[in-house]
Amino acid sequence: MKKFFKVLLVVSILAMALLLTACGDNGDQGGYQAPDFVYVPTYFQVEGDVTSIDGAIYHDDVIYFRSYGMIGEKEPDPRDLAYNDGVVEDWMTEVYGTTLYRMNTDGTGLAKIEGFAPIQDDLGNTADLRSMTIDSTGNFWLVECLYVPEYDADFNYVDSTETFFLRKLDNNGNELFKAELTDVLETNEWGYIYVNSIAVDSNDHIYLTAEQNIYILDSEGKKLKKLSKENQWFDYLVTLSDGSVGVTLWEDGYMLQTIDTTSMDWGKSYPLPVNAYNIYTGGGNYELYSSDQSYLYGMNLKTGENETLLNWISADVNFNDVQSVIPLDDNRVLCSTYSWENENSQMELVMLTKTPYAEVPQKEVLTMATVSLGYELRSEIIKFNKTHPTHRIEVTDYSMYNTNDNYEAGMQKLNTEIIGGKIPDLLDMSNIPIKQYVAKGLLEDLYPYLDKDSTVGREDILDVVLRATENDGKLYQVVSSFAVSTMIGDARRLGDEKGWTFAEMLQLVQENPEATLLPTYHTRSDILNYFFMLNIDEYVDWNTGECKFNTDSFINMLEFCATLPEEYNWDEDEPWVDEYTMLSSGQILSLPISFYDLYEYRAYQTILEGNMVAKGYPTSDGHGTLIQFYSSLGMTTKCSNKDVAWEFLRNFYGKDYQEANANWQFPSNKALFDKKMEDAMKEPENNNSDIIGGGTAALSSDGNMVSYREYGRDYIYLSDGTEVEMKPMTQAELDYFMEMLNSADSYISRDASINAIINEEAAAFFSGQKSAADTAAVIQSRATIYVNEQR
Amino acid sequence: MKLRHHKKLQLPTEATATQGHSAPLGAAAKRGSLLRKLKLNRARLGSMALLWPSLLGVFIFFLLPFAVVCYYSLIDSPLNHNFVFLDNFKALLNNSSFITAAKNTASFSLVSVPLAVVLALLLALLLEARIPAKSQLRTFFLSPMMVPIASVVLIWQVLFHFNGVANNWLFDLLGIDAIDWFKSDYAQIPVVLMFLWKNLGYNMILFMAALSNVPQELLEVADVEGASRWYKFSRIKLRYLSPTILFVTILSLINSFKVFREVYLLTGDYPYETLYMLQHFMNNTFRAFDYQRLSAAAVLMAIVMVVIIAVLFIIENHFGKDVEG
Repeated sequence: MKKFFKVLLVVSILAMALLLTACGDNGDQGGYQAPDFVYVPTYFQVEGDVTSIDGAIYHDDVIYFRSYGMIGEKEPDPRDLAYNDGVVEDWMTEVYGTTLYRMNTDGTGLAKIEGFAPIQDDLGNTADLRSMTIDSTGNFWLVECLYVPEYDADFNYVDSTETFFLRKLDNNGNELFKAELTDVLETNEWGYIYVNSIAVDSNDHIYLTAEQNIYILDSEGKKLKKLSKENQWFDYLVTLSDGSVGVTLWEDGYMLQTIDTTSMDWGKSYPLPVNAYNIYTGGGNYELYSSDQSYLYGMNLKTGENETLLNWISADVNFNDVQSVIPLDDNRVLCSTYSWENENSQMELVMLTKTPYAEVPQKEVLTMATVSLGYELRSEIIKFNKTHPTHRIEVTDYSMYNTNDNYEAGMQKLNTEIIGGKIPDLLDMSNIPIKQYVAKGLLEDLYPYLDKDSTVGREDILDVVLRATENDGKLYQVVSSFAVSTMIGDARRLGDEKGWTFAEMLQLVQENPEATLLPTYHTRSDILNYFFMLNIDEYVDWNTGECKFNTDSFINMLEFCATLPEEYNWDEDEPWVDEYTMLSSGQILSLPISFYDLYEYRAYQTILEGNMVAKGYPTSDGHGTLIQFYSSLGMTTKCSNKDVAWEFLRNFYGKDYQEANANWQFPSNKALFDKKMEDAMKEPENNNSDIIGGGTAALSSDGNMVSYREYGRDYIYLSDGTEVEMKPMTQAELDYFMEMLNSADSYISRDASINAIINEEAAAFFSGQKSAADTAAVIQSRATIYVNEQR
Repeated sequence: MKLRHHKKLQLPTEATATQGHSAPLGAAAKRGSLLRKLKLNRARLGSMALLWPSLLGVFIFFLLPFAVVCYYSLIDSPLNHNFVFLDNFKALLNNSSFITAAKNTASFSLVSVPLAVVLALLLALLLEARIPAKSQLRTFFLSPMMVPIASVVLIWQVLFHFNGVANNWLFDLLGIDAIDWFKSDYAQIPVVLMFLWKNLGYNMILFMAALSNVPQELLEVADVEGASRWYKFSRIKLRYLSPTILFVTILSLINSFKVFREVYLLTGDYPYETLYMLQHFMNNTFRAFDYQRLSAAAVLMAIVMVVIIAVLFIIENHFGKDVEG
């Protein structure tokens, strides 16, 4: 017996040792497991001047597609002349339309389908090709829409008509059959028909989706049946490999609903992956292909499973640039891409070939985890993977684990894996609870890397950004761009001092009964959440666990929010008034705003005649201006190669990345930020009255030009039609902006749990059940428990 | 043990065997001893073979996880595995949320467990007496066990809502202003009531069973001797009931820790301070993946439970030592 227990003890110890060792081992390589196969890209160009590949169809090893572009020229009509100040020059109007092409799978043999020409009316209006399919004999079936606008004598738009046509063309594009769909399809409640997809089944029946209906027509265009489901809208029709037809729709998630071609009634339905809204057909082993931003999936109708076929980033393809995806019979995948990164970009074909991992030149792998991968980050990863000699980044987008019932499932899985020891090397921290990760010792301090880097240093980054992203003197996140969030008003009404308390704000409201503090579209719950989010540090001390919800400040906030409408009812008859007018006219006293660039700042300075005051959000210490980040990146303490990881991260502080990607926010790079400030103070280079195509030139009825816009000059467009010219920013305005920016010493952080507690309890106060003080006391009790748990 | 004793009677001892027949008998005795050992080993192996699935289950599902929990409570994080000895326990004891949860759980158990034992015993004594509709009353007290917990919670929400029945009664009868029961310092009262309502019936049945096992002869002798009802209860029935009291107390104690389920359904993750129980702390800590704190809390709680149960056993031994248990 003793021996038995001895053996048991030894087994226990061994089992525990194994368990714990396993925990440690998993973390070392960031949990990266090399796949059996990868898709290797080969790039090539399309012959000719094709600029896009749309609606590609793979049939008998040939790819058919349509491309929109210039298809000819015509004499200018009166509308064109109107935009040219009535001057008739020696030029022709370009005519744009659709061309059909065929091409081999290797990009060769590109040829126009010469017989095809879009339907045209007598006025030269050409029909738009809405959807196209090929039947089993190789004939094209098209749905086209002819849009005919009507103008009055002054060329003002009056009305328009849309006519849908069904056409059958032979393989050379020659018309075999044409029918107007107006008589076949029913109009919707607004009197329109809208057809967006076509498919043909093995019985040569034609299927059309028209909003909430699916029409089944015979090959002569005669209606056989109409299918619908209650309150159901239909997306794309696809012909499946067995000759039947399916349609994608949203029904408890994105689904493929098949249609029984014999009974012409609904068949089975199959769930598609969450967020995989891009649907493709083609060859290969799967009936249907779908894609989200990160993965291509193949659906097997026999099992109903969606198998993950490839990771776009691993295949060095930026899915944001993908126009068409054509899965081929031999398991290769052909994509057409068009990058918008620079003016010289052009369409490119990428052939992805399934290759055993062992046969691919090996690179060390850094793993990255994300729960929502942005466009800029995706591009940067692919650029790094293509150029780095020894390493590549493999991304796991955990949003693929989200379900229609639980959009947090991906985040939960990431957290579970991290605790289980599967730790990525890099983290996209856009939706990550940073404070918790820091507390767990998961994030690497990036200051040592920044300080020893020869290409970028602290002096290259705005102090305010570093200050706001620091945590106890350590830097855990790299931020490339930011916005400034504050509350603004007219200094002539609010005074020119920055900062105010809730009591001061409420007093101001009482002193100005003719005005409201905020635009009326702000509801009480919006503002409560918003103000709390911005003021979280005022009420919560995460270090000591102390909460201050039972203070006058918070009670005042509740009482202020109670004065706001419970919900905003949009009144269609009420004329719309823009915020500039509301603020300048005194209709509202202040406006919560995030400055993403200097346009809005200059606009409010202009409209308030240089008297804009940034009061900030009401706080007890008057520090109510914050900065906002939309994305940040970090490195984990378990990163397998921290120096290479830093090589990737430092790019986001660099000029190249920020010049290309940080246009819609302020760059964190000091040199770029300063340049932005300098540019805003300069007169526009093109300061004459040349008219450009994008201008707002218009002719009056007598043919005179009544307004125009100068290129390079910014204007404010008010709701009454007035245009106010913005002058370059003055030194005083720049100084004020910098003062406002430098007063921001923290960034907006969110805490959903406290928000939920506040919303739940505030409802009792708003409904009059409890006093503000009692409500604040309950919030204090509940939030204190939560905050102390997090310490 | 019985088998072993029986076998001993069957086999001659070595001493008796060697008395008359020295060499040959000695060999026979050795053979006998070997045979006995072999049989004993076979019996042990047989019982081990039957036991090992259970032992393996206990090992995999209880001992090993508990060992892992103990290990996690002594390291700094699942990533670094640095041994920090009692730091997690110190941090835990300095955490005001944990202290609040521990106090609330203790105060709830201290109030609800004695009530659940005493009231159930009184009900059992009541139903033991000659009263009408005993069977119906028994069913009546047991019926809360059949109600799904979600329904119970719903009923309690309706009863103790700010505009609910309890507040209406209090206002009509005593003129007391409405109380937000689940978000006030009185929050434990409705939960204690729910706990009693839910558990009294089962405890009562256990006591009724125990009462039926009290020897009637003793009670009859006591009657003949002219003992009072209180004397019979305190000196005879209570003595015989002590093992059941211990069992019901432990059961109620465990159930009082499990009241988290009801409180969670009533008030969510972060209730008003007085309803924040240890299981809230553990549940929330688990969701936040703070395994170190969770493990330390679990170990502390296990130690406290062991101590409480040990104390209860000592008390039971003291009071029930002179009765057959």
